[in-house]
Amino acid sequence: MILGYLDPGTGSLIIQTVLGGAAGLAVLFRSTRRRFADRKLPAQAATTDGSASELAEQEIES
Amino acid sequence: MLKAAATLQLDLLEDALTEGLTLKDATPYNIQFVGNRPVFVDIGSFTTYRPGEPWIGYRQFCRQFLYPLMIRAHADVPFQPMLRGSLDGIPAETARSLLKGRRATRPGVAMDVMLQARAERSMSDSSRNVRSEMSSAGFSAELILTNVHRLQKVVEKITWDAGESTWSEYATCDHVTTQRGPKETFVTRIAGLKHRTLVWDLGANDAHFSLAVAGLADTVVAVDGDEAVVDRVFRSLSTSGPHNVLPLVMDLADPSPGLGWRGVERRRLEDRGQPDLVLMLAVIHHLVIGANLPLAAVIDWVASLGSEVVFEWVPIEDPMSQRLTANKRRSEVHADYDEESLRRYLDGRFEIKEEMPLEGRRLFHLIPTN
Repeated sequence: MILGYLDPGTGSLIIQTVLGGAAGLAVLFRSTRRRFADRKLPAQAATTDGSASELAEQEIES
Repeated sequence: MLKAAATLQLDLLEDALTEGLTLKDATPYNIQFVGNRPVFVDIGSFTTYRPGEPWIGYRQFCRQFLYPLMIRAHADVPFQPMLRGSLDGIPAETARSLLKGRRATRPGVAMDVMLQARAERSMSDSSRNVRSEMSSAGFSAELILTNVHRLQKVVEKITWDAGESTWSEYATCDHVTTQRGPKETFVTRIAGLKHRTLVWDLGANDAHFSLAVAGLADTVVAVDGDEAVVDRVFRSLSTSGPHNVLPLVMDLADPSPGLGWRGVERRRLEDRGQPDLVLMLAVIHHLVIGANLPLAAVIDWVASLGSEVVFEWVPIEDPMSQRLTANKRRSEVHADYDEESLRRYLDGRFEIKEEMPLEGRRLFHLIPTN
């Protein structure tokens, strides 16, 4: 039995929001807005979002 | 056939999502053909849909179903060598280079090819957890369904006009029409000697003899290297049957090898089934004269299948052999391409149970001796 690893592809995942119609665009908008918010307020966002916490740490280190 | 498989894949994903499930991958290898009917065989691919998850198999669907269909239909590029060369399918960037310009206006090309290629390129070194981001932003199964419905329309609109090919009009040749009657009588009588589980018709062309023996066997696999002919056969079988005949595109001089990890993820032709009858009608001259394979090697390969064989010998003097030698010197054709050598190579490997002359050619019913 062969167990293949399936790479979903980061770009391929993101464009699924565009391909999901109007509701998908809304998801893309919310996701993008959240990322910008995380960048602007790393310390504040770190308390609410795991991925933002990681991003904040990277920015502090740099 | 790939289009039929793609349609089944999308239909199953649609049904799965409406039942709270999803398909965790999207590869044509999960779909096999029982005769000419596509059947999904990987039950383990069904998994519970986790709210917020995108369609993990979308990229794979594009690489292994959508791009091959698009480049065949829109760019007239055969996808078989590309899929055979890479189990992972055709990358978006490769599809983009084949489908740019006016072809980019075809349904789905702008979004599924151009946009995806650009997204993959720009995100190639990203470490973002996009799945988590999309989930927390409210991604849902409805978005996947919207995409699936769109893809169903895209796939439906992909049509390939095979047109004429080297062998698409072969069945109308004079020698074919005159020889078919007695040859069919011989073939069906041998095939009908006992019930056949699996028959391979190698070099099947329009599958005339596959159809002739279809009622005498559980399954007939009709193999031919001409994609246009095989595609025509598949369309005909899909609408009017019989449904136990599976047409396959394969060059017998270069058949599908084992693929993937250690060459065993996808099996080579010989490992996919054990035929109890092999038809090799009007194909030996293509292998020995056309593909320049030694006669002894071909007979050795046929014997390795361990099957009964209905074999048609086409001598060098035959008009079809002459056509193949038109641009060859006699020294460039294997010197042992003659009936005496054939019998010598058959000896020890097969018992010649029966033979019948046929307008300069000769039909053999061969029984393996081991």
